[in-house]
Amino acid sequence: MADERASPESKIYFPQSLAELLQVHRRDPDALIWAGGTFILSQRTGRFAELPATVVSLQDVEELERISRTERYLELGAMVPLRQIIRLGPQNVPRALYDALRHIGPPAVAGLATLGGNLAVAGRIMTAIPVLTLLDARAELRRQGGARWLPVGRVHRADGSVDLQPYEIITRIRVPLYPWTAQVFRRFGSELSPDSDPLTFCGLARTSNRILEELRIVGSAGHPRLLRNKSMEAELVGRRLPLPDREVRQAIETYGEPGHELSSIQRDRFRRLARWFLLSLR
Amino acid sequence: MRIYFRLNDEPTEIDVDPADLLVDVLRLKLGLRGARPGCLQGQCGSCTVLFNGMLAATCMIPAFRAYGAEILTIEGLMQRREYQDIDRGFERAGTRPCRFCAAGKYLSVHALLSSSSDLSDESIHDTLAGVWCRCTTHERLVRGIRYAADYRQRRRQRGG
Repeated sequence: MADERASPESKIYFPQSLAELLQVHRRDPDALIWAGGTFILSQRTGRFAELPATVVSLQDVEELERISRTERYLELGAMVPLRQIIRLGPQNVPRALYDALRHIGPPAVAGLATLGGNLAVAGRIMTAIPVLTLLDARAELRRQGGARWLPVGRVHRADGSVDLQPYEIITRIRVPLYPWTAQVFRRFGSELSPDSDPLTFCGLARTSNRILEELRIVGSAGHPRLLRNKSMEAELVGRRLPLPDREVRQAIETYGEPGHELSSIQRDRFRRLARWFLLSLR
Repeated sequence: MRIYFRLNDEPTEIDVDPADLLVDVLRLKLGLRGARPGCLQGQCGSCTVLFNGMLAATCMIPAFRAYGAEILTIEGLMQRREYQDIDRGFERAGTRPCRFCAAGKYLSVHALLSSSSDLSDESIHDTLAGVWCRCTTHERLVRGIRYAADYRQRRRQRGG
């Protein structure tokens, strides 16, 4: 049975396997699931962790710390520290994701933070999510007796809540390894401080013989709705490169319309980056 | 709550409140004052340790997370030969981290030199980005890291 160490304030569970974790979670569905804990601790107000009555720590669940790579996929356990993924290097991790992970806090935070934790933060779109969405990554959600795969772009509902059904846990993330010709990631500010006008930008493209074969561009200002225009992407696919400046300008005008709740700084930054990315394609 | 872990290669057990921050446990309960509380948001690097082989900000770790962990603090690193390599490298570059940032800088450099032979500008920049204190110049630190790598390699070649 899961190792349980009681304290006067909080009860902490340390399940030793995935099966135990799912069992404990089913028994105590309101317990706080503790992965890296960096987001939770960044929100604290005092000089201590604000722990609820029951915490389930994932630190001993070996199945959640596995990394595997095939020709088609990179699979990352939800508890793999970001720093460990970065150590795999850009030759093993899609460049845009590699760059995104390098922007999530300094090394001493990336040594604790996890991809599963990044996905599980409710109400905010953390740095890795726009990139994982563009890469068609999927998250495995497990509960006792079953599992389902959900595209990372659908892990958060429109209201920002996380689409976890009762007793479900994010266990791994599968990232397809697709031969992109151009991968760009940029970030301004931080989702943790909305006053910094945070903006995450990612662009992916595949070109061949000076023809644009595939294009994906996404932006995120931290709120649940990602900034993406698939019809614009589809319109540009098949065009000869380099793209004419006039067409690029027209295309990026479609981004950042009123419904996206962007500040003028965020909109301007996004449009400049999108323009630069599109004009750089060869 | 009683927790057990390996601290600087020694098995350690101690009673803690699970909500305490590890930086406070190290300083106030175990008397290891090399890790210093700074920004308390994991950004400044002054409370850095190696936690299960990874750089980690102890202000972002609740005490219960230390259960079963392997922790190396600046005090533990000072007992190792690797520390001498880094110290000599910094000295040769004419730089010496202050007491506020020593844990962050020495342990970050130790982690960099231990995890890869890649001493590109990018990897060095990543390493130094985790320590805010600018008591030393960036150029001298970079030089110090390259000297330290050189000392470490030469020592290993001698079988030390």
